[in-house]
Amino acid sequence: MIKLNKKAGEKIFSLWWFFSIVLVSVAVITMTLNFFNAPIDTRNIEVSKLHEKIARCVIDKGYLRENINSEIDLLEFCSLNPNAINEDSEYLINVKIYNENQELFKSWQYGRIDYKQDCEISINLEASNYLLCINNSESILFYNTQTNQKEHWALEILVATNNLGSKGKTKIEEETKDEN
Amino acid sequence: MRKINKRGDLILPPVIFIVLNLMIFSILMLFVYKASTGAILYEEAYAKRIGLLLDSAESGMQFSLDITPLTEVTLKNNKNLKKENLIEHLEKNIQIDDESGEILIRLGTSGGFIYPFFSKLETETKVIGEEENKYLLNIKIK
Repeated sequence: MIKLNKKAGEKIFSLWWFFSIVLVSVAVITMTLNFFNAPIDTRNIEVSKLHEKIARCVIDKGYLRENINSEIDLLEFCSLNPNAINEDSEYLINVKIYNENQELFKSWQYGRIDYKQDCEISINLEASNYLLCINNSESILFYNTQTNQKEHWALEILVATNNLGSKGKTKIEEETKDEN
Repeated sequence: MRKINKRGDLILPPVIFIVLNLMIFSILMLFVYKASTGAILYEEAYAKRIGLLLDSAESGMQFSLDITPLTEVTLKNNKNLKKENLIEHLEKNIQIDDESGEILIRLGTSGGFIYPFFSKLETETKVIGEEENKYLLNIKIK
């Protein structure tokens, strides 16, 4: 009886040992892969930088820049790359300027248009993998040269990004591969 | 002889058990270490670091970024790479494409990490080997 118990005990012990080793190994490997393969999320910094860049480019000391009046390309005016901000990219820029009578004076829209709707959803949503948006409306001054008076205008900037980067090849490398 | 065998029977199983345990946990620790110093992590971290630097840069600025950890990972992942060719290799595998607005960092033999940046800039990059084991990435915005 004692002999039987001992053998049975050893068998159970080795089985349990094998089982726990496999369990621990799987847990360690899964956690390590999940931790080190998780994307480094810099979208919150990026979206605020984009917002700041546009705001600084449109406003000068609280006033709307004079040359904004003309039919300008905002991307070019603000030194933003049109090849990086397009319909296939991970950015959205929507800028609107309203005059004193709340009428739309000028608006620009670049990048992923579908992000506009996603931004509206994201206001009521708490999801870490969802895109990040800044929708800011502020009062700006406009110097009317015809009446020589300051006017209170409004500037609305909506920027969004879902740029996490990717593993693979650059656009240039892909183009050269296609050509070959 | 029988006695010796009996002693062996008593001592051997726990010894094998301990050795196997040590082996398995050493392999696990090695795996964790390899994963923590892997190319993927460094490629992503440095691509994003450079991308955010460029997004807040203005013309006339110049940056120097310490890329010494990248050189260590590059040497580890490219066994045939000699140290005297390291700078040339790094300049080829740390690319800033102003036209498309992308940064590519490749520390292994293939693949790499791509991070787009939104600023329109004209950059000039150069890898400098300062001291014996210190390397800097100089980015000049024109």
